[in-house]
Amino acid sequence: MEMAIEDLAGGVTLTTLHGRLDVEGAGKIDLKFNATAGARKALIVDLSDVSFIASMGMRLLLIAGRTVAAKGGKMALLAPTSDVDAVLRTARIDGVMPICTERAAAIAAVSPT
Amino acid sequence: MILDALISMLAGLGLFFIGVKGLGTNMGQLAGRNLRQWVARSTGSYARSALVGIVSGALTQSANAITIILMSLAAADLMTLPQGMPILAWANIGTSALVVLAAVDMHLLVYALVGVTGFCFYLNLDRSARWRPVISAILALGLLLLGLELMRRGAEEFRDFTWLREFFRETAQWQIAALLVGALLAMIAQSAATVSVLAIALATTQLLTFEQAMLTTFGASIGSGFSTYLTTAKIRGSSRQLAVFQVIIKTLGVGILIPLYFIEHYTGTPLIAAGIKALTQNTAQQIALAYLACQVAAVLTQVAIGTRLQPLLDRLAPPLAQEGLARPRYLYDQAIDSPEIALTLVDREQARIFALLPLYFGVNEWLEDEARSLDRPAILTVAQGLGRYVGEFLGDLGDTGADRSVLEGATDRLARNSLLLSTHESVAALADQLSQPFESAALTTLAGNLCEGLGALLLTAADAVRTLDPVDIALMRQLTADRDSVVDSMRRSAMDADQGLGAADHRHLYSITSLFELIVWMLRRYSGLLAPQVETVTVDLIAQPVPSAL
Repeated sequence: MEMAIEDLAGGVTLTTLHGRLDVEGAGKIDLKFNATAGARKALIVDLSDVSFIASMGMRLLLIAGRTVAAKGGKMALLAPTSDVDAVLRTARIDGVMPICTERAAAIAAVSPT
Repeated sequence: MILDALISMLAGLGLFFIGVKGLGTNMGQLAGRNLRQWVARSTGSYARSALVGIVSGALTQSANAITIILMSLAAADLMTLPQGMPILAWANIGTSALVVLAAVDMHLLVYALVGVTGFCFYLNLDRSARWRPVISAILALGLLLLGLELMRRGAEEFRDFTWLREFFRETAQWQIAALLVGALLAMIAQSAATVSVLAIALATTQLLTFEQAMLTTFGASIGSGFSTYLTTAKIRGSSRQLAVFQVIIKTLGVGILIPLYFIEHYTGTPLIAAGIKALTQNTAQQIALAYLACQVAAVLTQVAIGTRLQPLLDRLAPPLAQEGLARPRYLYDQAIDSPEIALTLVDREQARIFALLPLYFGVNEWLEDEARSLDRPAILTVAQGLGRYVGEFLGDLGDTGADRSVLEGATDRLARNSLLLSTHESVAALADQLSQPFESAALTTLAGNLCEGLGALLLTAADAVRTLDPVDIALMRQLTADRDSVVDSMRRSAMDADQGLGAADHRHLYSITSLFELIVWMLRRYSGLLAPQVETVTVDLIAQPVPSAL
């Protein structure tokens, strides 16, 4: 599991994940990902290159979302594959953070109103 | 005749196994704080344990039965193994009553037990949640003893067979053969006392000499220990240490007597046989005394090296990982005297039970080490054991006359406890179904999604239960919000993806999605019981910040 961070305009941060977000993958990026969430108020997590997501991976996303929200910020998930999207919806994560298919929609979802 | 004897023994063995299982199950349900304290008082001193052992051995006439009962008590955490060992050792002496009296009507006790339970059933006491385990345990004990009685009667019928008597007389001529025959017959009859009574019968008719009968009795003592060992072969965990302990003390006990016999036999030094003959001239009584000597030797072995056997017992019958986990880590009996602290401890214990839920789906990375290796049935056993203890503790807490806030707190936690155990059962059932291979690729995909999705929900919920942080609880509540469309959409997707789903597949599909729906509802209900005031709070990670102080 690899992770890349890119700062976009308007204080939005795009974090792109590559690989399998399973137990091992989640453990590998745990510290860096949480540190990013702790330092950002508008965070988009690009999942388009995530081939598999396990429960520990979703826990990682939820904890990060909670951390961002605790500072008054927002987090959105971007372009998961259909397989990953189905798991996210089974875990009902779409009920607490937006899952967007387009980057523009994700930016709009996390940008301060 | 042979068929009668064999069928009697088979029926006896069957009843014995039913009794063993029933006793184990119901003893577990009886494992309340009060009963544990009563057992602790009854076994508070060595003398009391010895007395309990002798009386129980004399009443049941079966060290085998006593071993099983003590193992059930130990497995239910009603008694520690060091408490059980002296009882078991002295129960062997209690069984001498049969040999000393040469005939004891155990069937009267058995009939009385069955009669008592029959009346209890007639009075509908078996429908009472409180009395059902007691009545079932008594019935199980009755069946267990009835089984032993049938086996013993079956074995006694063999006594009348001429060929067997001849075989017995011929083989017992050789000293080692007499030992082996005694051991073998005791293993078949499940009782050293029965074989010793048989030896008395043969010796009094001068088919055997006193020395041959004594060696047969020695062999029977060893054989009955091994029969206990074999009978309990399927039981795992530290409670089995009692069966191993029984084999060791009986074998070592006889191991002390046999050399004495041979020294006496070959050197003429007056030792054990001479000692017995000096006490009585009656052959039957002499053999009874030889039997008693075996049991006393077993007790002496227990007294001399009982505690030092523990490392060996741990190696031969190692404790299961789940045994330690099923014991409360935070709650303790005396906590009931400090109700406010007790409620906090209950919260922590319930969080432990809750934390086991993701384990059904193999999510174990964040659990304590010994919990990680639990298989699905063991997870449920641990959760039920802990939940039962917590439930009884809360019930007792309600009886202490504590103030209203404590009573309300106890009632809330009782409701959570019941819901938590139901959730465990449902999650275990779903995990079982999801672990079955599906022929349909669509169902296989759905099963994978449900495992991971529910795993994530359970992990988040476990966080909330552990921290009791209102924000975590609100998040748990929001994730589990009522959304029929989610499950409907899952079903539709699976059916669309695989148009060829058969009737069995449809049943599977509805079964697993319905269970998933039920579990999500239970989690939502649990979050409501954790903090009713969080009901109105929304933790919206999308549109609004989480309130800093909920």
